[in-house]
Order: sequence, then structure tokens, then C-alpha cells
Amino acid sequence: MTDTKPTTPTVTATIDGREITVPKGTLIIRAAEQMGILIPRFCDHPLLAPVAACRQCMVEIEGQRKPMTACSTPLADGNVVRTHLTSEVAKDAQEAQLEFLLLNHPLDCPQCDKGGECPLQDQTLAHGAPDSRFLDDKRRYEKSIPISPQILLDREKCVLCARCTRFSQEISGDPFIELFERGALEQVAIYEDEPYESYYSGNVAQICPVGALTATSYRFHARPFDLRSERGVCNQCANGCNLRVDVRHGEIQRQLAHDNSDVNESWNCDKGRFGFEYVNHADRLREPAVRDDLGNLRPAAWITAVRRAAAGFRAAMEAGGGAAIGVLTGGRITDEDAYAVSRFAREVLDTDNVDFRLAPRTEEERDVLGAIAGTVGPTYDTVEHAPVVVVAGLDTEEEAPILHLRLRKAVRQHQQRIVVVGPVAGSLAEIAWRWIPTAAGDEAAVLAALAADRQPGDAALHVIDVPPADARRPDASTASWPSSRVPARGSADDPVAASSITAAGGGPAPDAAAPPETGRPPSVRGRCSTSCARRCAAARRWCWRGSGWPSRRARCAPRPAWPPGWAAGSPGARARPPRGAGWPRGGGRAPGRGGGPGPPPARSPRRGAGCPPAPAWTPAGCWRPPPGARSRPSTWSASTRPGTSRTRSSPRRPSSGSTP
Amino acid sequence: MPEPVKVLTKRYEVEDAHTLDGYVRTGGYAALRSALGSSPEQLRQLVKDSGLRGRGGAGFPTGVKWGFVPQDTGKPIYLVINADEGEPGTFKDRELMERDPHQLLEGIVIASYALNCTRAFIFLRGEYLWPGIRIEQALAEAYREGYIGRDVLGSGVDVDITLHYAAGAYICGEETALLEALEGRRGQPRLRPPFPAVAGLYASPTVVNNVESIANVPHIVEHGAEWYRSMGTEKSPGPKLFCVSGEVVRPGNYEWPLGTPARQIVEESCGGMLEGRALKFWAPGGSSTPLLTAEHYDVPMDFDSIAAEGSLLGTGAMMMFSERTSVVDAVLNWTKFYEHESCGKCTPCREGVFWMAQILERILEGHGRIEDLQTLDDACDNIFGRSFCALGDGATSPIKSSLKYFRNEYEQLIERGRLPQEYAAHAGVVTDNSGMHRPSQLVRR
Repeated sequence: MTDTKPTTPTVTATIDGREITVPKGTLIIRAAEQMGILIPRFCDHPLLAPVAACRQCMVEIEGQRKPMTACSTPLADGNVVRTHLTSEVAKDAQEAQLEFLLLNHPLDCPQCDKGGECPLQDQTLAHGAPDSRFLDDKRRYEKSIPISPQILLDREKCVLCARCTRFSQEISGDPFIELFERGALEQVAIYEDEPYESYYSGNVAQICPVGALTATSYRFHARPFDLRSERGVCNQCANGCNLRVDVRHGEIQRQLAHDNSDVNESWNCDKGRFGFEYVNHADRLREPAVRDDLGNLRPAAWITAVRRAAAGFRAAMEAGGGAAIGVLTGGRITDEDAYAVSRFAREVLDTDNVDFRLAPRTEEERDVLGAIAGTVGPTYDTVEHAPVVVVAGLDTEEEAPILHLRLRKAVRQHQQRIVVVGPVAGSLAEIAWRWIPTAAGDEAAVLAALAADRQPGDAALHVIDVPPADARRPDASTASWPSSRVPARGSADDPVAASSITAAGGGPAPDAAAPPETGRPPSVRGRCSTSCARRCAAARRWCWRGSGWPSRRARCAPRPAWPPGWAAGSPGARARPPRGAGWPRGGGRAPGRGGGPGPPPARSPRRGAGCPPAPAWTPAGCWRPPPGARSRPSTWSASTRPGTSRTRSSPRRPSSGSTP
Repeated sequence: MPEPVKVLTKRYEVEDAHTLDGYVRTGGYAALRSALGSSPEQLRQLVKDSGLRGRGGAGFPTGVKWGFVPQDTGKPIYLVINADEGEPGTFKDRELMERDPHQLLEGIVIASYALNCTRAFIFLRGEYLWPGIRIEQALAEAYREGYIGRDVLGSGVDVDITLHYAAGAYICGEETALLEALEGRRGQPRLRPPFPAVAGLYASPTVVNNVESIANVPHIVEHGAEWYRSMGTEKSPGPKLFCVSGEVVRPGNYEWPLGTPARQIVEESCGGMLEGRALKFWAPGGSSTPLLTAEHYDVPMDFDSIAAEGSLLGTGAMMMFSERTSVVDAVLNWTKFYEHESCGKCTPCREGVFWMAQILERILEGHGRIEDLQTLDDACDNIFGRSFCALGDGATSPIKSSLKYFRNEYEQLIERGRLPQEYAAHAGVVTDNSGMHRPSQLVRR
């Protein structure tokens, strides 16, 4: 591959007296990093576009009148660059910026969550002034305010580097945080009544170079220097994000995304970041239990439990041979564990009845799994650099969040074309190039038609141009499902779900003539009850209630829950989970993705998760963008975007699983 | 000695010059007709030959700027008129647009034709209601009579002009922030390169010109580059509108050739300083230009002579102050303006100006310390040349220059703790924005 690529032009320059050759266009700050010279920076992030706002990375370039920002200036051939290590001008400029940044900084490091791992603190210690010349009034704001259930914002500490806002614009594509006001009053804020509801919100707390954005789940829990960090791989879905798990006294305090450019780059999703509380949950099984004669489970010693199990196995084998035994592992154990169990089942128990699925979805799934077992799939890099990607029956943001970020990056940086095959374009509507709507489950037929080179216009193939501005899902009130396709979701014994689906237009008999008055489905989450607040408190989770934010709707972050109908014993439980039933799906896809039994972290329901979306498909034709939908520039205001209702368009059942 | 000229202001006395009738009657749109007879290349060369330098403050040659625009990118070329006249002390474009809007429109049509641009924008300062009304009326008339729009005067050239009312932010006078705002985003300067000439408005080649620069164009086309060069100095040719304000008898806009000494402008046009007041300090081109003193009274008002004195011609907004005005008071007033108008994007401007305003305020309140002067000086050095755009540089100018020339006044003030009796409160200072959004208002005491 590499030899067919045209060779990239390079430039040779000198940094601090040492020569370096780098590809043309390399920023000075990156080139210096390669040489082991760390130029201080706040706003710069290698995965975000340069903005040169903090002015901390000033270096001196021979021939330039003024010091230049290393984070935004590409190294040019023959440049003689001097950093703070060799240049008084650069050192002076950097120290001055540090002094400016600290003017309005509260300097409350001893009680700040970031203390100990704070770039501002580190740089001040490294080369800041020992004393402040600032005698006057600092800018003061209300202390940490929640901008979402997971994220707290302390504007006093903010150095306005715009990393968070750029992340939400460029990477995650849900710009619910922006810079407001100007001058010394400039501040990060959220839109009126629009909390920062992003699946990736935890990343902004991680990339914040000061303690301005912090995670509620970690706030005041530990000190960085008290933590023991372990590397790990996230087990919440099949994406395999690298994690840094921080442990204190044997308890997980937080999880951070660990850099791995081949997988998750520097990001992960909130599910992976915050979904660790099950590990230490009181309800978790910590010791074996054995049923007594009355059928009650009693805690027992391991040896007792093992002997009892062995006796059970032996009895079963004597009665009916190995075929009488089945082994179900669940989809969340590691490859190694799965292999060991499988060998044990086949060799000791003499049975082939081994499965990792608790509930098989479809018959064809078995063939697919058989076909892909043991193969190595395409890498993220392959996906990113593919000119065209076909996504069939997958809502990437819901089911493979990091893949979604890769696709977004590919569209942004490589003009990738994405073809979506499925009932909805879902989260890909923003970036998809074409969308081929199908009924749920008919994706395979469409793929076959595509493979057979049937042309658009064929009865099986309705290709729709999805302009980037399309709403994420069609207007629910104008779409209807064919009655045979109605999922089992809105069954009569599930009144909440049934009513919400009907109101959203996706129910069995949508009344197209009577769309919801506001065009927005009623929230099924409703107000937060006192008991909910108590449960949140018990789960150490931040709750909207009593947050001191009176203008906001009082509500709770949804409690950890199995998706609707998934947990056995809940009302309306079904043998088969609904399509797109959120988080267990990725984990259940292949054996060997280990994981815990617990629920995902609290997250505001946004779209899609538990509910089959109103389809974009009608038998007679296909859905078209509503009149007036038009393309928008890549950075737009969330308040004016079409179908802003990402937080609203998807009624989701209140979490029923955990409170049967 | 230079004589006052009447080029841009020649219709200021005509009662109905703002109407199409009045404009055409006094020879208007003749330049457009002759321009349409020559090729765009010829026009660009003509403006280059005339030596016209941008009147927005930087003094960059307009013809050279036009030459930077690549003509073969396949993208549309945009012309944006910077009418966001926010520099304190500057009011030349306002009168120009109020009294003679067609002159500007004619210049835009000619410049658009010269640049092969079919869509021009006027980015008008939000507070300029009356100029906006006049421009709107003029646009309607000119569209009706075919001077603008499809097929201008039957020549086959299309030029559309869009008037955009800005939201009233000083930073939007910076050209990249202006383009951001025009695109509907937050008015904050963009990273350069790419420069607007290559990727400006909607990532297309864009020329951003000041109102007065463009208003010069019809006259250059009509009378030729030679005639234009007959006014002013060799490196700064042409007429210039000087907006004189402060403690003078008749403040106002006066047109003189570039290179006219400041004293002559003030004495002859403005009637000199107010009775019994002697010049103490003055800003030659708005508050962003370093202050000068009485000893610079005879400096010729052109780009290079002023630069040689350590200041800038800027917009030609001369603010004259007498012994009755405390320089610290005036500087605080300007610094508060910059504190309020800083966009907040970069650290030095956002934090540094915030700091300097507080120090100055403290000194005037009588709590100054002698070390504060060193701090102010250091802060200026750390902002100048290190901020993202020129706003930060401009904010340091009054402080740095006043410390240079009037350090003793600062020292006296710090020693005595209050201004001497003879200073009139805010004498000659245009606005008192002491009640503006200071962050201290957010403090819950």
C-alpha cells in the first residue's frame, strides 16, 4: 500500500538548534513533540482543529517580528524555531500568558478535582511566577453548575481554551455547549433549557485542561495521586475502547479513555466511561450460593458449591448423558473464559450445548455468527479510509459509539460516503450520503439486491438522497408502520409504552390526522419523584432535583435499567428484545467481549434506544425530507437546527427493569 | 501648504445628494459608465496605479489587495464593505453614507466589476440606523434604475448588493471576525492563513474594503490615477476624511489631502482648540493609535509621517485634548471600552485588558501604587504582538503611549490619591461607560 502512495513532501527545519524533517504541514508543536520538546499548551489538542486562543505555546521563529503560536503555525522549510528552552522571547511570552490566565483563576487547587493532574497547575509550578501581581477583583461566578447529569461546569476555573466546545462541534457533532458573552465575561454555557445531552459528554471533562468541567461521578471522590491506574478494555459494547481504570482502596473511582489511535483515539462514550458502578453494587453476587432443601439460596463456601455443582452434573449425565446438559455463559465474559468454559463443557461434560446468548435474536444470526467466528474484522482504520461505507441495520451512535465517531471523522476529513440500509437513518442521517429504507429485518434482501447490481428504481431498492440537514428521523406524525411490522413493543400490558408510541406516531394505529400538538412526543420520563431522588442518591448519582437550578425542569437522570422487556420478570417482558434495544446488543454480538451484568450508566434518553423508531418507509414510496429542510453549515446553532428534538423525539419507557 | 479639497465631500452641501436625482445631477454614475467601458484588469491596474491606500486603519494599498484575489478558482468572488465603523472617535463613514450613499454604491459596483464579483455585502454597524436607511433608499433607487442588479446599465454585468446590519460589536470591524459574523457565527477573528483573499466569506476569495476606500474609486475612475496622485504625498496619495473631535471649536469631518499637518487641519477647519485651552495630547487615528503630544502638532497627517512619530494614522480620527483633561482619565475610558469590546477569544486581550482597566480604575480611585505603573507597562508588552488580532494591540496603545509621555501625571496621581481640581471630570471624553458590564457586577457580595 505504502509504495503506491505518492511520497509526502517534507520540510526540514531547526527547533532549538536540532534539525528535524517532518511531512509538510506539520505544526511546530507536533514537530517539537517528536523531538521530545514539550511546548506548554492549553487549547491545543492533536485531534481538534487548531484555534490558537490560549496563546500559551508561543515560540520564536527567526525572521518573524512577533512570537508565533506553535499550535497553529506549520513548520516551514528552513525555519529556525526557538522554544522557551532556548529563547528569552518565547519564555517571556509563555510566562506572561500564564500570569494572565491565573488572574481570574480562583487558585483553589487544594479543593479542586483536577488538582494533581492539572496542566495549569503543572505549568504554573514549572515556570510560573512565584507570586501574583493581581490585587483586584477576580471574575466570580456561581460555583459548579450542572450542564448535564454527568458534567459540572465551574466557569471560574475555565481558561476558555474552547477544547470542549470544539470537541462537541467537531468530534461528537452535538454542539450543545458553546461560548457565550465576550471579553472577560466569555464563558462556556449551554442553551436555555437544553442540557448538554451527548453520548460523549465525559470526554470534555477529560480534555479540559483545568478543573472547569468535571464529572459528577468522580467529584470529590479521590485525589489523582491516591489512585492506582490500570489499563483495561471497555466491556459495554463491541467497540473495545481502551480504558484507564482508576482504583482507590479496591474500588473503581472513575474510568477514562486511554489513548489508542487504532481503536478509540482519545475518546470513549459515556456508557463506557461512567458505567462502572455495577462493579461495586450491593446487589452483585460476591459469593456462591446453594439452594437448601426448601429451595432458598444460602451463601455457601466455594468447596460446597463446587461439590454441589459437580453432583448435579454427575446426576444429569448419569440420567441422560452429556446431551442433557446445556451451558449458557452470557455474552460478557472474556475470550479466555469463554474458551475455558467451552472446553470444560465439551470435554468434561461431554456436551455441545454451549451458547453465549441468553436469548437468540433471529435464526439467521446463527449463520452469521458461525460465519464470522474466528475471523478478524476490518479495523477502524480501514473503515475510516474506505471511500464508501455501507451500514446495514445499525444505528452506530446507539450501538457502536466509537465507530460512529470514526465515521464522522471520515466524513469530515476524507469526504467518505456512507450508505445507510435500514428502517431509519438514525444518528447517521447527519452524515449519510444515501439512505436505502427497508422494513426492519429486510436489510439482507436489500444488500442482496445491491450485490446483484439491481438499480435504484427497482421495487426492492428505494434509494434516498439524505441531505446532511435531514432530521435524524422522519417526522413521526407523517409516517406509519405497516401493521404487520408493528413490534411487540406497545402491547396492552405496557400502557406507558403503548401510549407513548401511539403519541409518537409509531404505534399500531397512528392517527396521521392528529399529530401531537407541539409536534413533539410527550415525555414518558415525567417528573422525578422523591423516591427517584432517593434512589439517585443511593446510586451516588447526581439528580436534577434540588440542584438549585430553578428554571430547569425538575427531573432525574434515568436510573440504571435494563432496556425495556429485557429483564426477566418485569411487566411486559418478552422473550425477544426489541430491535435496537440499546446497549446489550453490542455486548451480545460475539463471544469474548466480557462484561458485567449490570446496567448502563445514567444517561438521558435521547433517541432510538428502547423504541423502534418511526420508520421512514411506507409501502407506496419513500420518505422525503420535509419541505423547508435545507442544508446547514457544519457549525450551526442547536437552537435553530431542524428537528432539534434529539432529546425529545424518542420516547423511551421509563426504566422498568430495575424496579419490577 | 496643502489646500482643503472637495472630492469625497463634494456633494455634502447638496441638499438632495442622497437621492438618485441629486446624485446623477451632480455628475454621479458617470464613472460607472466609463468603468464599464474598460476591462476589469484595466480597472484593477488603475486603482493600483492611483496608490489608493485602505482607509480602514492599516493603510494597505487597495489595488494590491485586489490583485491578491485569485480569479481562476471557480468559486465566486465576494466584495465585503466594512462599514462597521466602531473605532472610538471615528465618524467619517457615517456621514459619507448619510449624505452621499450613491457614491459608495457606485464605488461598489465599479469595484465588483473590477473584481469579477457579482455579490457584494455592506456590513453596516448595528447602531447606524440613519446611514442604513439612506443606504436602503439608495439601493432601492439604484436597483430600480438599473445601476445595480442584473445587467447593469445594459452592459451584461451583474452586481447584487446586500446590506447587512451588524449586531454592534467592535471586534467585527476586524475583517475575519466580520466575515464570521456575516456568515452567521460568533464574531471572533479567524486563524490566518488562509487569508480572506484566498478563503474568506463562505471559503471563497473575498475582498474586504473600508467604506471610504471604496468611495474613492469612482473619483479615481473618473479623473484618473494621475489626478489622484496630485493630492497627498507620494506614498500616501489622495484625499482623506479627518474626523476631528475633542476640545476643538468646530468638531467634524474635514477633507484634506493626506500629508496635511495636524495643526493646519485643526486651526483652519475646526477653528483651533477651545478658547483658553492649549493642546496637551491627541490621538491621531482613533483610540487604537498611540497618543501624541503638543510637540507633534505639526506632523503631516499621512501614513508614513505619523508612523515615524511612533503612532498610526488609523482612521484619521483626531481626538484633541487640552490641559483640562487628565490623560489617566481618558486612558481609563478607552481601556474600559476595550475591556467591554474584547471578544474573549485569546488570553492576553481578554485577561490583560480586564486587568489593566482595574489597575487604572484603582489608580484613579486613589489606591494606586507606584509598582502598578511597571505592571501596566509589562501587561502592555505582554499583550502587544501576542494577542490573536489587532484589538489587543490597539488596547495597549493609549496606555503605553501615555506612560511614555505622561508618566509624571500617573505618579502625581498615585502620590496625591486624586486628580487636581483643574481637571474637568471626563472633559472631552466622549462616553462614560463606567456603568457597563464589569465582571464585578457579577460578584455576589
